[in-house]
Amino acid sequence: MKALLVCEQREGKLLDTSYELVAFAERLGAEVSLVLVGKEAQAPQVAGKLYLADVDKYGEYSPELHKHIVVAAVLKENPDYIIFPHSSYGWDLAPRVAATLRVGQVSEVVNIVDGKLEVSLCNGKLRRTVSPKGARAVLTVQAGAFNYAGQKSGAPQVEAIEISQGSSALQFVGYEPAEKKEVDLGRAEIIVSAGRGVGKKENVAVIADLAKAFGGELGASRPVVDAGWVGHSHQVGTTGQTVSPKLYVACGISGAIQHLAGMKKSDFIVAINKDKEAPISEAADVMVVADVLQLAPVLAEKLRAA
Amino acid sequence: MNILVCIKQVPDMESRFKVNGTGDWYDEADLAYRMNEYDEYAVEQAVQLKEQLGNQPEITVLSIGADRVGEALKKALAMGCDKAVQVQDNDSARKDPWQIANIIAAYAGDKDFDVIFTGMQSQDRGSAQVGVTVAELLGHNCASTLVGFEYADGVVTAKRELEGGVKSVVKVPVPALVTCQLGLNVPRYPTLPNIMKAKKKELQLVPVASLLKEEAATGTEKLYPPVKSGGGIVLEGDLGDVADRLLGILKEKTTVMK
Amino acid sequence: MHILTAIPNCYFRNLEHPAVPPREEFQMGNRFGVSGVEQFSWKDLLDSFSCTECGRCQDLCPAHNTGKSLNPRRVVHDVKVNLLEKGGKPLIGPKGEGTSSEESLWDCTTCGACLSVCPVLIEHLPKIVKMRRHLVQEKARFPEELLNLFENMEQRSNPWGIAPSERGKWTSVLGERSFKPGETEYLFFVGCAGSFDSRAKQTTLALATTLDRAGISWGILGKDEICCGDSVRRLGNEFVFDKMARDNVAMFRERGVKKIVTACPHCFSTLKNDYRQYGVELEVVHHSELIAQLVGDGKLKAPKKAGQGKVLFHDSCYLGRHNDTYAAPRAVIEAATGASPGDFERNRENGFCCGAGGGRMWMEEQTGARINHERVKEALKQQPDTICVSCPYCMTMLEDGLKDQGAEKVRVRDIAEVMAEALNDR
Repeated sequence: MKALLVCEQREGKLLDTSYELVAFAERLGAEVSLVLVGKEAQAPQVAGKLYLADVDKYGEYSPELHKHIVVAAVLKENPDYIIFPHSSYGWDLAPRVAATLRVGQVSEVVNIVDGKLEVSLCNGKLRRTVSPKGARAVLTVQAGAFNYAGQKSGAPQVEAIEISQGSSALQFVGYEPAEKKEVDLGRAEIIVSAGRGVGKKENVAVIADLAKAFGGELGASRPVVDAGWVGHSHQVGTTGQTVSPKLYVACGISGAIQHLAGMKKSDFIVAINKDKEAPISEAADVMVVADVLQLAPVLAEKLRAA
Repeated sequence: MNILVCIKQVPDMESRFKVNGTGDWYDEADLAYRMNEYDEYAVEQAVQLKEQLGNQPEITVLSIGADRVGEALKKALAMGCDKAVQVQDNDSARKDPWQIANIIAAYAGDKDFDVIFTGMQSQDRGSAQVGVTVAELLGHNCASTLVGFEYADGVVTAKRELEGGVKSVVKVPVPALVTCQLGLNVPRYPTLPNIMKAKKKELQLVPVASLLKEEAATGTEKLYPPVKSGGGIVLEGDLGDVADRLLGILKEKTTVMK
Repeated sequence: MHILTAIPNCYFRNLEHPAVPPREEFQMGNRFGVSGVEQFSWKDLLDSFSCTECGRCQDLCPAHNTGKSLNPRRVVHDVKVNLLEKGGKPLIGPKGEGTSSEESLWDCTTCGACLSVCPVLIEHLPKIVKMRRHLVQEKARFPEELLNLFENMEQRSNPWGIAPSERGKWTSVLGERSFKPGETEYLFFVGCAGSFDSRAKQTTLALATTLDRAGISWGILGKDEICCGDSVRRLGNEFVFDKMARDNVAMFRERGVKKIVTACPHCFSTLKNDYRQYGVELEVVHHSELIAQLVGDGKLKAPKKAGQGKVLFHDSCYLGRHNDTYAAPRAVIEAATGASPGDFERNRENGFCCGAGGGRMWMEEQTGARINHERVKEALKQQPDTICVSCPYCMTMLEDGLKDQGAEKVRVRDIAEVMAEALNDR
């Protein structure tokens, strides 16, 4: 079985998702080749053939050209699978490649179960195994589902790739950096929220630090916002924001229904509370019975050490 | 100008899903349906474009499925679309994204739509394929995952959302297809007079067989509930020990711990 | 002028129920709600000329008392000025004589204090609801947090958007408790708070066990129960309310429901008064009335256990002012504790709202002091041990208020809980 991995770079930096594709291909037991629109210096440090198209010539975002580059590599390599990260790059490019090759696409593979591709549906409430009908298929792989544990010390065998199509109808204008000043709970993957249980304004800093250690955003329940300990943009709940991060850590939040309604769609919920019976326990995947002001610094330190 | 919006009707994600008798899809009995959330942003953006252009463009809204999709179409009409098309298919859940895209492309093929709006993905399947594939099949320019949309002089200026909050700005000449991400705009709450007017707007019925000529490219083998994510785990005791156990669980059960 | 109109105004007062606004007809070409003074009913206009500007309404209004922009006297005055100027000014718009601001219309908790205190029986409430109807239905203009509420109500028929299948879950400790047509005497209409809110669920269970002890036959609709629609109606979303009311009435008919008990004054008042407009006469009782009656009939042995310390009773607006029920909840407390509860300074007809009525439960309170803080401070002057309530919204507002004031040691208990605790201690 052969897999062509479509790596991703942005502004001169190879994205880590490229290595996750390698990890996924290893799970498949596939022989690996890679394709990248970038520079040789960014090449993933793994063994295998790398088809490299010059980003200066073809552009960083010009999906029609990237499509033809991937298709050219497919024609040379004849892979069974063409694999993309399920990212803004991958989900934009993969269907274009699949349609051009007239092959099926399986999106956001989360696991391989008995040799079958497993995907999630309905907010993770269900899973299904999907099979492509033809001999070849395009796949996209969920970010973070497959971790690359190997060394990043290999050297790929680079082969330059050129295509005849030269121009793109789309005109890439540029990037806009993430807005830093405002919290954006709606987009956050991790939210660590402070509730009334943190006691006083000064203690919110402890929770904010834990949020930082997780690489997440600080959220809050309504009383914390009402008391003026944090701004309204942090408020999760019926009259604040409805959020659905991959991880929600509720610190000292008892779990009034107004709060639960705002965060119950989170993929995974951890509650840290002194009261084991607090209503938040009904929603939590993990209930940690502890004083959050004592646990948070310990947890933050371990996260930073990891 | 001609505008097309493609919408899907999906089950309420709050529902308790059960696997059906044949084990290859969810049981549709007892489910409440609504317009796919992403598609609400698509409808809103289409209506805003129409308003920007002095209400001159005509917006067609299309959905594929059984008669219940009429409810979603009615909402889109109440939000400001002009006419609705229901591609009648009682078995739309078994069509894969390739077939769905082909149905839409077959419908749109001879209609000269200048701008086509779709959601970035559906809430149930989440494959994020249909919009981009339709654009490929029609040969339209395409930008995905929009969090910003501007239109002037035949060019869409799209703001695409990338990872980590970074946005990429790209100019897309029409004919164009854009897929809409949550937060692109604020979908309007239809006013009552518009709900009333929607009842009188045209609903065209098109049998799926007249549009679909393609076989499925992928198929569902088996559908099942996920292994329990760990519900009900209670951690107590020494703080350092609790922290270690918690981090272990998070590494195993979530995708956010690197 | 008011001297001429005040007397007929009293004569023509709404005999149906002052808190029940008229139905609307949902037909093409109709205008919904009131945006111009000419759309008000002749009674609304007569009201405005009858006002003596005595200011009793503003003195009792919870919004006005906490520094918000609503003043019920001004609303009525502005209708009159607008009419005299023949609609030369917008009825709803930037605040000014003759115009009510949108903000002031959203400030109203529909507590009904203004109309109960008015010496010439002016009905402020329907005017505010009619103007809200215009904003919601014609303009889709309302505080942003209500968008979520409306969608949750339309899609899942409860304010939090929880899956309807979760509704009957609270019965898991009691076993199967479905309402059986022809067999069950009382439909226990649990309501959204009583079904989903973990604190209110304790009241629900307390009532269920109390009814069991008295040998009352009761059952629930479980996942088929839908919201009564109180909040959406008071918020002016009559179209959504209309659908909920019709669905509920159809279900009551289909299942042969004749008697209903509920622990929520909002469900109680809506089912009892508002649904009459849909041609259904139900015997609806609030749980305070039913428990008081069961004690009176000797079906519940009054335990008279003093365990709650010093008790104050807070009147719910929708039980008290809107339905004149003041004695029953106090009787339940007396039966359970052996002593009649103390009163707030402002009580019964003069009671002060918790801040959650009229859909305010689902909105931010941006301006002025918190209404629930005001009410809690009023209670704390008397240093109570327990504040008794008869409404799940009051429960939330007072508990939150006590926590904010650092007075968590004061308990808030529903009358059903007080009764159930006393019965269990026996």
